[in-house]
Amino acid sequence: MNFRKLFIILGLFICTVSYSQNKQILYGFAEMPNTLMLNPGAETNFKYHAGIPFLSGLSLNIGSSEATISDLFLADNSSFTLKFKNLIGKLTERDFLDLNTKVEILNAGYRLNEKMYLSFGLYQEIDFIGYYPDDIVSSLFYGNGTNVDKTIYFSQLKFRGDVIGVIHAGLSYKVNKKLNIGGRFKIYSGSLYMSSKNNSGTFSTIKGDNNIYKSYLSNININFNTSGLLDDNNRINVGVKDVIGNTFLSKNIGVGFDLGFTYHYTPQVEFTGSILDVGFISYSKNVKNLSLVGNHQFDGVEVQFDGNNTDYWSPINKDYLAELDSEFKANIPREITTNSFISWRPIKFNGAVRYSFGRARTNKECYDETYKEYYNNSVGFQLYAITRPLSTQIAATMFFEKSIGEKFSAKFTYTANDYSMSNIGVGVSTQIGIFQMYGMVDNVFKLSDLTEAKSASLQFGFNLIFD
Amino acid sequence: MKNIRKTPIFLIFIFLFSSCVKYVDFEQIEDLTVEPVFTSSLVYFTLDQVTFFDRINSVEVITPISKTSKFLSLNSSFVKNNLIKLELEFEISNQFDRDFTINVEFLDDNNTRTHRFNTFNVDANNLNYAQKEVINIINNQLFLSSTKIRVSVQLSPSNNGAVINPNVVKNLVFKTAGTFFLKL
Repeated sequence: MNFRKLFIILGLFICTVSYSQNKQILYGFAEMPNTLMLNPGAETNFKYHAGIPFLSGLSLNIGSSEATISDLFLADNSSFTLKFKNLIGKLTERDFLDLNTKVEILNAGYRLNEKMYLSFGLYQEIDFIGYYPDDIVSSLFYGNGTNVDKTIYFSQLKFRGDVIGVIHAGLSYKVNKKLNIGGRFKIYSGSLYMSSKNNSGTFSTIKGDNNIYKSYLSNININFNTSGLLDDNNRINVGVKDVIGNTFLSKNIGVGFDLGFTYHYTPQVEFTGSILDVGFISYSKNVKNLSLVGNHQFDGVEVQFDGNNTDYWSPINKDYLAELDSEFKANIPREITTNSFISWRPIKFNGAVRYSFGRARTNKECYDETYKEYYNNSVGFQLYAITRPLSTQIAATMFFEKSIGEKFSAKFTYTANDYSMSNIGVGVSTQIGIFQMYGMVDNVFKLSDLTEAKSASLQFGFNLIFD
Repeated sequence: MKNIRKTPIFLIFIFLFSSCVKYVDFEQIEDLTVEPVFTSSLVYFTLDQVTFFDRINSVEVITPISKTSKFLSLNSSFVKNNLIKLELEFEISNQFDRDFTINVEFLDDNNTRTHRFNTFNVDANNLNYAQKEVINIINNQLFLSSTKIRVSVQLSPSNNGAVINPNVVKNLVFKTAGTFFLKL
């Protein structure tokens, strides 16, 4: 790969606007069927529902913790190289790019009896998180010559991405008037996977003893796990058709579950919580794992002037470069295996407390045992967390939800997370006859100019609901 | 009434899908110039007094002794297109009580000289001789044809007739490092 391409990819990497998986607007919103995907213990009040195939739930989340598109690509006639330098100067190894999209191919549900609501379906998910390997990018961009004593840490190399299909079935169960619990069983099928984490090792160049400088790679232990990424020649070869086509048919199978609850402390105060995607996928098909382990030191080539005068003019009989190369390979061997491995799903937690007030309505259907009353306003607080390679990411949300009539609801959120402290989101849902639709968007103040946004999140869907 | 209910969500959808963006130009990425500078040690060697003494005839070796070795292959398209400048650092530590002259030359496959530096004159007992040489590579076709480097070391005759003693350990240590200025 030529270097320019590499930097173009890195450039795109750090400036693609990225997303988090937090669906703070959808969570607990208006008792829509899709909220069951975020809390299997959410309450429902309909007989059955069917999502419009491919359109029942679409979400796209991209976010980067530091970069925005306009940082780099604004057509402002200033030097692109300078902008690039400014950007990589700002980024640190704690910055990341986060991308998640989910498409619900099928989502339906059916009330088994007064207490139980069964929901099931399939969805496809693309998930990627990559941390910015500051030292590696800087050393490729600037070289080691400008800052000879700097140490490069390979532990900064951390990313994880996959494309999976999920088949799921869940049950929401009303225990009593106050408590509703639920669980969802999931079968995962992974068609593409790549990750590199728990890497270690350093590269440094320091003043040497034998020669002017000594460069060394010390305690190198770098691993990549992939499935469906590399071909027989160990080249990256991903056919979009294959990846998408194999999503539900792959032999990389895993299982997992979601759990959740809704608890009415009083008719007006409600607690909810859920834990999602506790599970794993076992990758065994098209697996290629690459590892580099070892130590290597280089301080140049010692040329031997033989003690015998007549040999000084001897012909060149050594290819030093080839020797160096084989020495490197012997010290830091590259090993490629096809051993199967397990990938844990990123676990997500949701928790919320909600206080409802305003004008109370009577229950709108016969399935609810009326402990719950319907108010046209509610406020509350939500917490969201997701396990990520470097650390758990947390987001806190305050919300206000308002219903206008029985069929139209709106939810406003303020969220503080790793990307920003000023994220306002809006969601609306409406039902016209049996046709229900919702749309949500995050970061509304940045919507007027998406290129300035560090993250954007978009969700919408269409369902048919039968009360 | 139904129409009124429909209105807000359609407005939101219109809002959602019609947000505007500032004028951005992704073609700019073509203008990115990456100019890394890499430093690495190159060859080194140590010569002792024995090297400069012919024990059989008990005379000093005052003809230059030299070593030719393969140099980095400069004839690749990567080097031609991307190597702008090469800076070579030399550090010489001379424990001998005698001066040395050292010549560094680059040769092509036919042993024809493609480039040479000014002679290094290293004084007796100078332990910290340092020299930096810069070669501009770009458009320097002659230098790009270099495949070998030849280092010749010559012991200068003494002023007072003294002869080196091969039984005493004294070394001439020669170190080099290269700094490669690239433009990608």
